[in-house]
Amino acid sequence: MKKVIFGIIVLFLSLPFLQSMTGTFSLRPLSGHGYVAPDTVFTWKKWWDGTFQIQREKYINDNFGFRNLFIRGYNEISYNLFNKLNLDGGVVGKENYLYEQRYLDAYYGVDFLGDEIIKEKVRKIKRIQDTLQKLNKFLLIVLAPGKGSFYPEYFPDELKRIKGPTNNESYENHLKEQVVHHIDFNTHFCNIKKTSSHSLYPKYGIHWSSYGATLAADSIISYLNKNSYRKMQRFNWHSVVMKKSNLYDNDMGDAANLLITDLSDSSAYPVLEEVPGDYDKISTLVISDSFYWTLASIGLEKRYSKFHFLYYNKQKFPENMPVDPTDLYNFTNESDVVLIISTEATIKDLGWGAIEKMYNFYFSDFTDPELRTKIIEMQNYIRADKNWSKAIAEKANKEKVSFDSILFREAKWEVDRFLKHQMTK
Amino acid sequence: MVFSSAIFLLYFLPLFIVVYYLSDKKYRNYIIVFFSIFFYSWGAPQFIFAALGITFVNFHVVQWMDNSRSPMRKKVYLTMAICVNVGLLIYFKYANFFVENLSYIIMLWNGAPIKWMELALPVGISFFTFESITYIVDVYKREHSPQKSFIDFLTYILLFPKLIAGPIVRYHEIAHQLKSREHSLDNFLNGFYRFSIGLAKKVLIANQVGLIANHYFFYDTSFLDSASAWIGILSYTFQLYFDFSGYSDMGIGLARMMGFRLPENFNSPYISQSITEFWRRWHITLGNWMRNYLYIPLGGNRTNSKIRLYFNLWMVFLLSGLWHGASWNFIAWGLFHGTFLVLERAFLHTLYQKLGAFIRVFLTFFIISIGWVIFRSEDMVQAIGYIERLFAFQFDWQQFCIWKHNFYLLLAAIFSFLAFFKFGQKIQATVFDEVTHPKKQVLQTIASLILLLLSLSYISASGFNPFIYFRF
Repeated sequence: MKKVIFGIIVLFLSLPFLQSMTGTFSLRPLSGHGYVAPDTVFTWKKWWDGTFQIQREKYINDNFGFRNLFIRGYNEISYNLFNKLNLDGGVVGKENYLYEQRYLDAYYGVDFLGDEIIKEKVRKIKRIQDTLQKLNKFLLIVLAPGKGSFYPEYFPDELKRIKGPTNNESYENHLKEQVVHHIDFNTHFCNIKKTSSHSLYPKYGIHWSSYGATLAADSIISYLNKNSYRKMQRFNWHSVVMKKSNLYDNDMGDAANLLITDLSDSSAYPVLEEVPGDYDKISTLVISDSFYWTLASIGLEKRYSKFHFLYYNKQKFPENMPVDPTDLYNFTNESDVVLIISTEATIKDLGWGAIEKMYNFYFSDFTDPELRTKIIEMQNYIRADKNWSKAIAEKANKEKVSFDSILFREAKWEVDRFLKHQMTK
Repeated sequence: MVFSSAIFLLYFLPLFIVVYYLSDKKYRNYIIVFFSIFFYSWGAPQFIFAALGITFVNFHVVQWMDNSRSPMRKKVYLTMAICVNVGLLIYFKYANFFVENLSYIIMLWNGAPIKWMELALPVGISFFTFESITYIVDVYKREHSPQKSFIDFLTYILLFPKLIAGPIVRYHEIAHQLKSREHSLDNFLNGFYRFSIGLAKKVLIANQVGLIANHYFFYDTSFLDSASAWIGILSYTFQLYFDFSGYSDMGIGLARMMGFRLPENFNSPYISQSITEFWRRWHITLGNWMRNYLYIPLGGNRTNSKIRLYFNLWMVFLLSGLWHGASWNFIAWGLFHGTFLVLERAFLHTLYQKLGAFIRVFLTFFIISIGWVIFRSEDMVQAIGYIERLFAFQFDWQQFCIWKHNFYLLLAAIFSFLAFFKFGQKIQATVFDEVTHPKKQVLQTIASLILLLLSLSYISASGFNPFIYFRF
């Protein structure tokens, strides 16, 4: 008997190693972004300075056998015992409604920038809008709904606080006041929440439901057709299929990576039909947070002749490459429509620097192309300098403005200084 | 490499067990040495040569010392060996501290700071230096003959279960086991059970309460309310115990799996009824070392003068504090404990006798916790600031309502104070006592495997905190 126990223990300890070598058991992969450390090659030099050991250990931590099972086990314990998600910023609300902390913060106005800052930003948007209009381009701001505003009744009690002014409310007021083209789905969804035949916001998802996104896409097309003097193809639906939620409706439930508990439900999926007729294929630039992905999933992109999507103005799609400093200018020039989409949790950074950049292009006090080139060169130079970039990021953070606006200010100051120096020579 | 890592648990350990038990008994010390060198050099490749070098020197100097007939020459060898070991310890562990403080003093007199390249501290140096000293002194005092085999001596010094964090094993406690020890399945299984308990203590409790402690110690003390400060220090108090005793349990368990029996290092220290008792229950092997190799040579209790006795106590605790780390905090912490030991000798013991056992435990635990504030703080300013917040009596009661914090703190408290009660002692005896009956072994194996599974889950998840937008 003792020998058997000894054998079981040794086998038990060896199994993960054997699994990592052979992959005998196929396991449900983990959802969610997980950086997996790459393996490293042994050299004596790396061994001596310890980098081999560090890298190898990281690799093993990310790749040992049955790791998925162990992580799911931990998540299951954490969820059932402490009502916690092992998920970046994840919050479990009442009746297991899942949130991200920043949505709650946005709802309560914890991240409120202040009315004056928002008013100023909207003033810039208005000027950009008017300029683009002169260039026969159409700018539309889309305020996507936020789960905080949509489901405040399911917030966990311990996270409830007194509601203050919010960025979303302030944007909505100023966009209206300064007559900027926009659609406020946050307010609209809340208004039709009780009368909507299907859920507009999923219980286990953090983005709008596929059904909600379909309504939104239809509204965006209608709005553009009415206001932009272009005719995009519309779609209809006569039926809605209820089925197990897909990844878009169940993103948080899926990323919770539980072992036993199933955090998913069924969602409504309209069966879409294209409305036949003659339509314009328009070229579009989308600058958005992750809410755009659900719109893309229901076929909005089919209506574009050409499209660029700048995800948080950092990564460009469909290329899936980092955004270049000149992309925004070039893509805007190529596009008929510019859509800026943001939910309440991300609206404090609306445009993610793109608005300031566009504004600088069109309204800076420099119109001389040579001067503009010099400033752009200086901006690129500053970006390449790590310490300088870091200092600018800190300044931007302190002043609560975008990195690009400070970058522009510094670059312009440097160019001015240089030119003055040249003149005095 | 630490015991509670995936690489140790799932690669190093199974490979070691298989190789160790498949090999002939006469080669097993070679295998231990080989794996120990790998284990040590995984984290500190540059220092393995220093460790091997000093071990080589000690081995030969002690042999010369033993072979010499002149008492004078013996003393010379003894002094030389101790100076080399202590010198190395001072150089690696304290040089930075001394230079830093000297520079500070020089700068106060408008001088230029000393140019000095900061030294890295070799892992485990405090432990293997103290063990080497026990070997040198024990042989000098003829408590044991010197080791004839260099491999056996290396096995004693480098034995990986105790190499990095103890227990500090005196040479005479293990000398006979280096040559012959019992390799039985009972030893292996009991060692495995002990290892699993230690791992669970470290991963399931210490790491969890450690997260709470880090959370509260991270803040500037002026932002802390008293509730947060108390939760923070209680968490740290439990973290230290479960972390260190968990590691000791793992070490003792691993050694047992190879047939070694190492001395115990902890014995429910938080149920102590005085600070004197606490030091008999906390880091026992360090306490014993300090008593045998420092306190007694200083004169110990056998001094005629009370002042001298108190000075000895203070000195031992000052050095004990310094042993824990080269920082004024550790010195202050050592003196803090030394002061209470002196006070207990002077009058507190008499006072304690008038109180009930429960109150004595409570008071002792309170004093120990305050001591841990000094131990944990980055500097004395933080320590004083933190202690002020503890007694500011401004309570944010919501801090007491975080269920996850309460769960782990409660769990830690239950296991810490269990041995205070008779039924708790019975439970502890059932868990820690030798298990030889097959039926009991099956049950304990199941329990140990569950603990191992849970620990592995916690270890795996500690580096996995996904971001839900991956797919977008």
